[in-house]
Amino acid sequence: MVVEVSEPAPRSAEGEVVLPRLGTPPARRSLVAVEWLGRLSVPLAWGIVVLVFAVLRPTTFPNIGTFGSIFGSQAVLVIVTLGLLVPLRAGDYDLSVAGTLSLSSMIIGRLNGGAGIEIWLTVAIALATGVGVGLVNGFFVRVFGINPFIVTLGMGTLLLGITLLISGDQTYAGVSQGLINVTVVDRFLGIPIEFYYALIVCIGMWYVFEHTTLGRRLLFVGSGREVARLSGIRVERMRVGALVVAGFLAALAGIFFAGTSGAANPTAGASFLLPAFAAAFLGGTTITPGRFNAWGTIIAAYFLVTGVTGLAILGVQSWVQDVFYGGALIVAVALAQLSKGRQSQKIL
Amino acid sequence: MGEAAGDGGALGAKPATFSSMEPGAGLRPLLAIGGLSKTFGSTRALEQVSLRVMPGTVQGLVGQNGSGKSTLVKILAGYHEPDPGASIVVGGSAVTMPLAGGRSHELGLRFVHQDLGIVADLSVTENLFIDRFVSERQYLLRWSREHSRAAALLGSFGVEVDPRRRIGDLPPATQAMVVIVRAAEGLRGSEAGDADRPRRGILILDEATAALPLAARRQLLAVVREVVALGHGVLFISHFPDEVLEWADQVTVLRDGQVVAERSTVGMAEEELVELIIGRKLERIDATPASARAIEAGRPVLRVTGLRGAEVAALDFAVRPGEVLGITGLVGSGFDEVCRLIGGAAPARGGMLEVGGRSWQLEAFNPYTARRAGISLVPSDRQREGVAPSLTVAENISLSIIDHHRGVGGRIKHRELSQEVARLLDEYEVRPPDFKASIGTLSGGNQQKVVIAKAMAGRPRALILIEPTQGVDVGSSADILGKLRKVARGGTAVVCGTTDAGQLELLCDRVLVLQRGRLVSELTGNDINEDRIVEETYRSVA
Repeated sequence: MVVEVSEPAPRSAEGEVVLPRLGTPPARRSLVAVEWLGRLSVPLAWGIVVLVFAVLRPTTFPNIGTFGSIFGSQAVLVIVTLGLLVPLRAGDYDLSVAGTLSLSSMIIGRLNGGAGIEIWLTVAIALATGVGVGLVNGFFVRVFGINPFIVTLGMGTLLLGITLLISGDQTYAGVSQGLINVTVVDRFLGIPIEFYYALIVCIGMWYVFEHTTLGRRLLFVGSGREVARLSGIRVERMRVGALVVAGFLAALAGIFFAGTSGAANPTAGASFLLPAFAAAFLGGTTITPGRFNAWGTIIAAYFLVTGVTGLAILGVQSWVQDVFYGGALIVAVALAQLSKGRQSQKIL
Repeated sequence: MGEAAGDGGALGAKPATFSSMEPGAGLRPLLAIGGLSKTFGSTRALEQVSLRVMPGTVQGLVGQNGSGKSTLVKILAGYHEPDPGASIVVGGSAVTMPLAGGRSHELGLRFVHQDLGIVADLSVTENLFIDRFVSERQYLLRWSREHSRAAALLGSFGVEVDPRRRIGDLPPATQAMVVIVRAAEGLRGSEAGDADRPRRGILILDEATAALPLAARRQLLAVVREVVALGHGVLFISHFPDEVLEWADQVTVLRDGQVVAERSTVGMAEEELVELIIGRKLERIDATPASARAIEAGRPVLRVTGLRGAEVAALDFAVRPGEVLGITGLVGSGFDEVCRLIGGAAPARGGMLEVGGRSWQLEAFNPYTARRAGISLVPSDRQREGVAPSLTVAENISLSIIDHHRGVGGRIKHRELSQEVARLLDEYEVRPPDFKASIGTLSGGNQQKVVIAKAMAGRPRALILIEPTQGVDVGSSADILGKLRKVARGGTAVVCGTTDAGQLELLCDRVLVLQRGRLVSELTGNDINEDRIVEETYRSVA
């Protein structure tokens, strides 16, 4: 038997039942302020970090070269994180993005730098490989019903192994100057052009997430999978599609990684996994708190990179990078949990 | 109160008691409840209820939905706190509810619910000894010894099963038997119990048989008889009058929160018990299933033929335009499964669905094809299947209508969409009509209005609902029923699966009553009233 316990309706002094007003309650204004502070928490923190470093190192930190380097060199991180964001939005993890990135950059290094095959062809092969990785991940998730966390955990390591295999354990230099030019040499407003690629991907993703029917369905797949299924959304297709997009963007990031350094190192790509997760989760606490979102992610990524770069300029050892990223991931998830408790929204 | 004279004819031979022990005489009850009341808000769920369970006997507890059975069980389980003044005596000592965690086990109360609480991936042995493994903190287990102990224990209750097997692979009846043995074993080891003088406890079977096939219930009964033979008491809560008569020595009947009868089942006829449950005499009527009856004017919007599922055994029916069809029955009768199958939530074992001039094989039906066929489902589990609690009201509603407001390249026309959402919130009287609020902040009734608005917004040919007013306050519930009538007048076929007979009376033009997966009667016109519907759900299929 179901019995609803209802509160007695509030009464005025005359004993009339007072209907709750539907307009803006008086407490609303301060609530709005708090809400905006929450939304802008990471951009504000970023600003503070920039100020602190500018004060500590007034000569080296606040110059265009440093900002150019921060914005440019970390476009790879931003793109791979945005790729990761798609399955996260659909409620799934993809731990294979760093493996895909490594393999993609090694395909460029080995085929273009090593074997001298045309750059456009190697780029196409690298992108196709990324799509293929996503499809294989999706196949295991859909056909065998395996949790993507496990499938992509295995896939990530497997791809790192394949990268080592095709590299013969050596770094390939001699990547096409054309690729290097359109990645890092050409600049616009003093910032390497690859930053703008990341920005375009971010705008595209924001548009799809917030303004298209596809994005709305993806949100439902992640936030209420059974609701989505019973409403006639083909949930499994969406999940596979999300993994394919993640693979494609990770491969794209790998191409820019090769273009940025002009070479392909078989092991360097693996270090992108944790910063990508840290940025995605930290991004989920800002702009639209409680939801993985594109703008939050790009801002969080640059916030983290600024912190690491600033600490490097201060002369802190390289160990700080891992401590910073790892700590940021834990703090971000804890913040996400807090906002979940506060607004009954969930991120994990 | 409501005492009807038994003619004793129909169910004649009834064994006295299972055990060698005579119930009653000189023995202290294992459980004695007196003056138990429970009030929720302004509703009295239980009023001065008394109940006793004697050692070595099975005490039946019956009543319709809303009679207070579940509230009583929840109080015993420590889930609800009773109103002050109740006396609850367990094994001779008075206790105060609610009990602290684990205390009910110590006192010797064990529950077996319809959800058995097993770990499907573990072996029978592991499931059987799960409490003990935890409490004894053994670091090393000798599995061969544990398995043979399990086999011996199960064997002593007449259960023959290989204890090494994964319990999830066994039939539901065997799982239930293992769980009953586990509970019985737990009773023996309860407070002050030692090897020489095992304590007696109370096994509470809470609708534990509802989902089981008939043959399996018989097997379970044999195990329960072994349990009472050990001197334990059993409180058996069931929907099925025939089963209660077969299993129980005494029966307590609850109606509207009060005990209306406390009787021995010896010589009691099933009709008599049903009369006690529903509060009046069963009329003798012609209960021929009306599926063969010609369907009157109006081409059906929806026609189902040969529907088969896990519970449903072969069902045909049709819904005419403007009609609200109710489907009802006891828990386990399959009434809700019918709705899930035609809503595409689960694949059927067979059957055809005709809707909008097209035919669909129900074996290959899924929510996507259901949507294409023009069918919207409002599921009963609102929190998991109805709404995405972290999303806003507008987002939740939008799911079914974004395709109506898409521009070039899948762009959402936000302004158009917001206008329709605002119109829907107004039409379905969602309070507050704030579409940026997270839906989790709305009351159950308003969430349900959103779910129905969302289902209707896609302009389906048929709207299928399961328990549409579950967990919904009275006011919203009336709003929802009114809306559903309006939906039907608009030409949409409405199918409502529910156990709430009062709701069926208010809502439906025609009611199908199912028992154990089969149609037993079809009610129309004046026959659609609460009393008659309840009668039909309890009428035994001869």
